[in-house]
Order: sequence, then structure tokens, then C-alpha cells
Amino acid sequence: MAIEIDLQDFIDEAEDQIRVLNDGLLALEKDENNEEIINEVFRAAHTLKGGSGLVGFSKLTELTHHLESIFDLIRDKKLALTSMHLDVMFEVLDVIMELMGEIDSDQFTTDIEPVSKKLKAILDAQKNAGSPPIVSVKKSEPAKIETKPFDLSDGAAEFIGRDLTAEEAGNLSKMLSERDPIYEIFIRISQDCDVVSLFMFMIFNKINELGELVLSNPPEEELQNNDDFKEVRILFSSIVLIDDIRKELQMPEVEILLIEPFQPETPETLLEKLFKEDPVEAILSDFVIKEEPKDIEDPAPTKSALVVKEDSSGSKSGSTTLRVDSVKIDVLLELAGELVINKTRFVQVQQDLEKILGKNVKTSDLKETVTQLMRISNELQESIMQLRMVAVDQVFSRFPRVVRDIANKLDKGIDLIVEGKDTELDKSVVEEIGDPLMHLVRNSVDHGIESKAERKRKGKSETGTVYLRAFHQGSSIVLEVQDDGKGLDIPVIKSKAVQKNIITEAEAASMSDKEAANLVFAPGFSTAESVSDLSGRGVGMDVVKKNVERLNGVVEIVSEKDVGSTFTIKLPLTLAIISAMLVRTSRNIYAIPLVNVIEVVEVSKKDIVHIAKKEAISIRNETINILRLDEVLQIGNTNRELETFQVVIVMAVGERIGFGVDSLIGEQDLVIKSLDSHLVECPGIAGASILGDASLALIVDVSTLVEKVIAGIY
Amino acid sequence: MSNTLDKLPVVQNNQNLVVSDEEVFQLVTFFLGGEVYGIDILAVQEIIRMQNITDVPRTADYVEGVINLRGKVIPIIDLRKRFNLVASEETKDSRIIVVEIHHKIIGMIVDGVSKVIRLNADLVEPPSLIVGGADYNYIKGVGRINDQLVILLDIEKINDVPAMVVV
Repeated sequence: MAIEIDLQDFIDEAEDQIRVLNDGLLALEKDENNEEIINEVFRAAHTLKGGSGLVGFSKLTELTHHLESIFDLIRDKKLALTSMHLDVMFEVLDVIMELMGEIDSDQFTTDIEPVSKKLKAILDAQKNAGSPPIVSVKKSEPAKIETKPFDLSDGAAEFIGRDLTAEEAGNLSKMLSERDPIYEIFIRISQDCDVVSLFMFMIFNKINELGELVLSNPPEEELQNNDDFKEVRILFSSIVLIDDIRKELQMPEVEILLIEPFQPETPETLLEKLFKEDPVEAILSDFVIKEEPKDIEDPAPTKSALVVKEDSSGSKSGSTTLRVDSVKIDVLLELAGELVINKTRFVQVQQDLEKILGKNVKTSDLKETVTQLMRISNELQESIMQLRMVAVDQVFSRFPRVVRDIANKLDKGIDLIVEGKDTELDKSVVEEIGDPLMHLVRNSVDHGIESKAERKRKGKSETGTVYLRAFHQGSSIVLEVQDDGKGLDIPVIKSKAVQKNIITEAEAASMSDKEAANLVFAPGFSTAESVSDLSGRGVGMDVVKKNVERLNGVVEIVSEKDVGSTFTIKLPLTLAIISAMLVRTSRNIYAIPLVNVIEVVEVSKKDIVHIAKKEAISIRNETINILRLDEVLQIGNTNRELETFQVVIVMAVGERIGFGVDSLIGEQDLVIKSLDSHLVECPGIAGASILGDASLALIVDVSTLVEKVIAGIY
Repeated sequence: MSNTLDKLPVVQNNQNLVVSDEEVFQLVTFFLGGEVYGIDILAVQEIIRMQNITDVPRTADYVEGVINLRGKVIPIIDLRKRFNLVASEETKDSRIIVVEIHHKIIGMIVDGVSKVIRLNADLVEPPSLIVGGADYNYIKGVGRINDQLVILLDIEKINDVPAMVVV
């Protein structure tokens, strides 16, 4: 059987398994006796070991092998899991992730020695505490059925009586892939034999004549220097028929000789085995034995029967998922985008024709066809967007560990509650949102949640709670980080902002609490009294905000002293398409993303009030500054004599601001085209979009535009 | 201005031109402010008629805006403005030459397009300061065909910012 090793498959598989390990360890921290999870972690370590062995990543194999061994002991209740163990294992996991990161560079420079030693120490400590009971291979001892995945090195390990090193496992898989049969040979030499080492030498000579040695226990060198071993287990590959091998090896001194074709376990053979008696026993009964053997003591304590693998990897049937290069999907999406643009043109042409020709059979036909085209192209686009959707869990899964580590470090009690991890959003968004979220979560844990003592004093439970949520809201996705910590101290924030020249005293005095809270997103603002390595210095919230805005999203904070803070990130479902309000101003059409838009009001000239020479209107007792879009963008002023105009009220930089435009065109989903040239780079313009009549609309980057105006640049 | 520094790369360019005598330039020639210019045919993607150009706010004055070229949004520059030539009205001969510079596509408005010519490298002289028209900085050399001067543009420099004014 040939074994195809695809590196990418290994990496994908490994990432899954690492996630299982991570989640498992975290779960075990809360419930160290959960057998189901222990088994899960064991299987993950085992699968990872097998996979890394196949691709020849010996460092990874070594670490996962130790992990597997430890969890094997835990499963068998020979080792009680302690928090110390878990700490070590988390460290190991970090090193494993580092190693995974190095796969691309093809050089494994990470030093695994320190963590490997710690793992060995755990294993050694257990060994010294009590030697494992010896399992004798006898009928009276029925094969123990364990839930454990199979792989070929396990089968080999089972036979050979010890675990395989990575090199051996690799070697073995290579041999198997070369299609020469592999045989298991068990030889016991008669007690009468004097010079065992010489005899062993002869056996190995024969083996090497007949084929190629894969491995043996004990190893060849040891046998030839020592007369104490009377038994040897050999795996070797050979094209010689089994009977001929037997003839060659059947020498007078041989007391027992067992030869069996070695087959990597498959679910089928395993099931067969389960219905058979103990394998060695069964084999023994097939052969003439010179002398009734005394108990054959199997040096391997527990590696007996195995059971069907549970995870789906490598399963050959019933799989309904397909791995596709994301580039291919991007091409599809691009094409669908163009189709959508085309569709809008069709609609336009159809309407124009109807105007010219009036309603008749043909124009009705056309209308119907165009409507069909609209429906199909919309559905096509949506379906392709669906392909790019992944669960937000890809990002969320990192956080339990992060929260745990920081909480431990700061000696805080923190529960992280994750909600809506199955919420789907565009892959490109998922990739970009990790860092901002990480920052918010760290911030909540580090600065939000108080110390145990402080919480007690305030009459809160000692353990703080951080919520991480994801849910859909219209065509947006909302990500929330909420804590029940101390909340923002508004007066402190205001004075800090004044001190850092972000706002003036007067502004501070007139600022609402909500506006003040959002000052934390201002560049250069950080209220952390001490700079910690957890939340960094100065750079922080403003970077979060920038990153979110780059994704056409908005971030807001709501906070109440001693009750807690909630950071809300609102993002479009995808980066490729936005819903926008089309407006006309001067002779241009602009698109204002709906995510920013709060409402649109018609304003007549007499409603305008002037505050410090700036136009403003009053809506429901709130004064809202008006920015004329044509003015801030310097695109040629519109006639200001018009009696009424439209004001699109947007939320940006924590403020409500109205964009004054000539007229509204309507809402539309737009395919974003970036202005990919420094020639037409304009802060405040996020890109362009092609409209139904093939003309272009520029998409307004609301936050940047407002920032520039506030900073006095525009 | 620091003429010595500016000259350096240009001179090197011309040395290259002179060394390879066998080299033949294949040029797309066009009119701009009464002169004939040539650009490497390999850089030219296509030549299109004038069309509606969407303003992009707060860009350099020689940047006219963006157009929709079969679903791609590309920036358009006015080559007259780029070379600080006297501005002129758009005519029926005006064209947009779409070129690829450093993997970016831009369109250049020119007065009109002439034809494709082949020019032996030995007919190209290094630029002198007195050639009319475009900035010395954007010129690779001056070629001569039947007593007609053709100014070879160094297309890669057109995209540079900021525009250099050398007098």
C-alpha cells in the first residue's frame, strides 16, 4: 500500500488536532477527570504524532509522543493530572505551534529540549512511583478494548514491544510504501543455547540476506554484545515467500519461531481482531511448539487491541467537503461581481427601452428575462459569498487560552464565555479581525476585570466574566467583548485627553460620557497607569480602530463605572461588497456605506443654525454639525441657494455628523474596486464602484474623512 | 536644482542605448503640444477614445480622475498638465493611451495618436536641455525619422511623484 503524504494535508490536519489539544487542555483545567476529554486529547496527540512521523518532523513527533504517553497513563489512571502537568502541556503546545510556524521556512530552529525534558520528567516521575503492572499474554487475560486510533506505527509498536522513534516510524512507512511485504518475526532461543549473541548474529545475517531489516527489539547491536536476550522481535521487509523465510530461520537452537505478514491496522482488520482471541496466542496455536512455553511476558504493558478511529481524516467515503484553493473562489467572486454590474446595466437598458418603445409584448418579455437574470445573478453572487464564509470560531478558539494565561499571570479569576462561535463571516474578514479582537480581550482581562480583592471589596463575585460574542445584525456582523469589570473612569479619561492635547478643557466639559469613552480610540491615548507587557503601551485602541475601519467597520464602546465595559465591533459581512447610500453632490455620485449611516433627513435652509461659522442643525434636541460633502472634498461647490437639501447623518469617531448632499439616489449593494494607485489616493475615499450605467461612484471612507475635518486638514 | 544628480540615471540610460547598436525601438507615437512623442509599444495596453472621467477629490492637478475600463477602475492623467505644457481643450482627436507601468495600469490623455514606428537605436540621441516640450527628466532620448523629431518618453518616470519641474 502506498502512502501519499501531502504536506498541506498534514498541516491542515495538524491545525485541527492542535485546536483539539488546546480546547481539551483548557477543558481539563476545569474538569481534570473528564474521561471523554482525556481520550480526545490522547487521540489528538496520537494523530499528530502519526502525521508528523509520516512527514518526518521528528521534533514534533518527539513532543507529541511524550504527550501521548502521558495521556495514556492518565487514561489508565496511573497518573493523576495536576495543574502543573497542564502548565507544562500548554508550554508544549506553544512550542508545537512555533514548530508548525516553521514548516514554511523548512527549518526547525525551535529548541524543544526544555519542554521535552519537562515532559520526560513527568513520565519518569510516574515510572518511579510504581512500575506498571505487567500484562501477560495469556488466554485468561482477554484483550482489552480501548478507544484509540490506529496507525501503522502503533501496529508495529504493538508487535515490537516498544514505541517507535520518529525515524523508525518514518522508515517503516517508507518501506510500506515501497510495496514489499513486511513480516513480523518472533524468535525465542532455547535455553540450551550457549553463545546467544553469535546465534543472534547469524539470524540477523539471514534476515539481511532475505530482505531488509526495518527494526528489532532489542536492537541488533545490543544482541550481539550481550548473551542475556533469548527473545527477539523483528520487523523486516522481504520479497521472499513466508515459507522460505521460515525454512531459512528454522535452526536447531530456535525454540519458537513465529512469522506473520505485518499489516498496518485498518478498521476492518481491527474489527476482525476484536473477534479473535489475543493475537499472539492465536498465532502460537498455529505452530508446532517444541516445548510448552512458559508465560510469554509482553514487555509492552498496555498496547493491546485497538479500536476504530473516530475522526474523519483519511476516511475514504462519505466525505462531503471539498478543499478548494481560495484563489479560485476569489476569481469566481470577481466574475460574479462583474455579472452583477452587468445585470444592473441590463436593468437600465430595459427601462430605457420601455420608455422609448412603451409597453408591448417584446418589452415585457425583456423585462421578465431581465428580472430572471437579476434573480439568478444575485443568487449566484450570494452562493459564492457563502463559499468564503467561515465560522468565527477560527478566531475565537484562540481566546480561552489567552484569557487563561493572562488571568493566571495576574492572579485574577476570569471566566470567558464565548457565544455565537458558529457565526459565519467572510474569510478575509476573519483573517483581519484576530488582532483587534485580541487587543480588546486582553484589554478587558488586563484593565477591565479587577483583582480578586478589589472585586470582593466591591461586593462582586471574585471571578470576573468576559463575554466574547458574535452575531448577525442585518448585513453586518457584530463582535462584542464585554466584561463585568471596573468600567471606564470618565473623569480620568477626560483629564488624560486634555493632558495629551487630544481635546481642550472646554471640549472636555461639554463632552457626553459616551463621547468621552470613545476618546480611548484616539491616537496616543492609553490610560494604563503602568505599562504592562500584556496590553502594550500607547499603541492600542487607536490601532484597533484603524484596523476595524480598514475593514469598513466601526468600533464603539459603552461603559459604566463598576458595572463593566462593552466593546462592539460592527463589520460588513464581506469586504468585497458593501451596502451603501448613493448620493449626488456637485456633478458626482458618492456612496456612503450604510454601516455608518444613522438616518437621512431633508433640511431646509431656514433650519440651519450657525455655530462658530459652521452649519449645524438640531434634531430631537441634539445639535449636529453639517459638513458639505462637496466642500470637504473640494469638488466644486454646489448652488447653495437651493431651498432644501439632504443630510445623511453618520456615526464616526464617536460623533454624529451630517453630510450635506444635493440629493439622494438610493441604497445599493456595491462591488468595491480599490483605487489601486498613488495617483488617485485620497484619504476619505475608500474606493470606487461601477454603477448600472457604467459610470463610477466613489465610496466615502466616513471615519477618515471626518477625522481629517476634525484635525483641520480638510 | 541638483542637475548632476538628476542627470545621472538619464546618462546611464543613453549609454545603454548607444552600446547596443542593433537595438530597434518599436514605438507608439502621439501628438502633444505640437511635438511628436514615442513610447515603448510593449508598455501600451490599448488606446481608447475620451470618455467620462470621474473626479477623485484632492489629487494632483494633472490627475483627471478615474474611468471604468471594462470593469477595472483606472486612473487617468493629463499628459499636458503632467509636462507643464499649456492646457488645451479636448478635441475629436484626443485619446487616452492606456499603459502599464510597474504593474499598474494608467491612462494618459494625449492630443492624438499617430502611428507605430520602428527606430534604430543609433538614430536616437541623448536628450539635450533644449528640446521643447516635456521635462528633460521624462525623456530617454530624441530620435529622428525623415527630419521629424520623435521624443522618446521614459514611461516609468511619468508615474513618479511629485512632478519635477526643471527649467
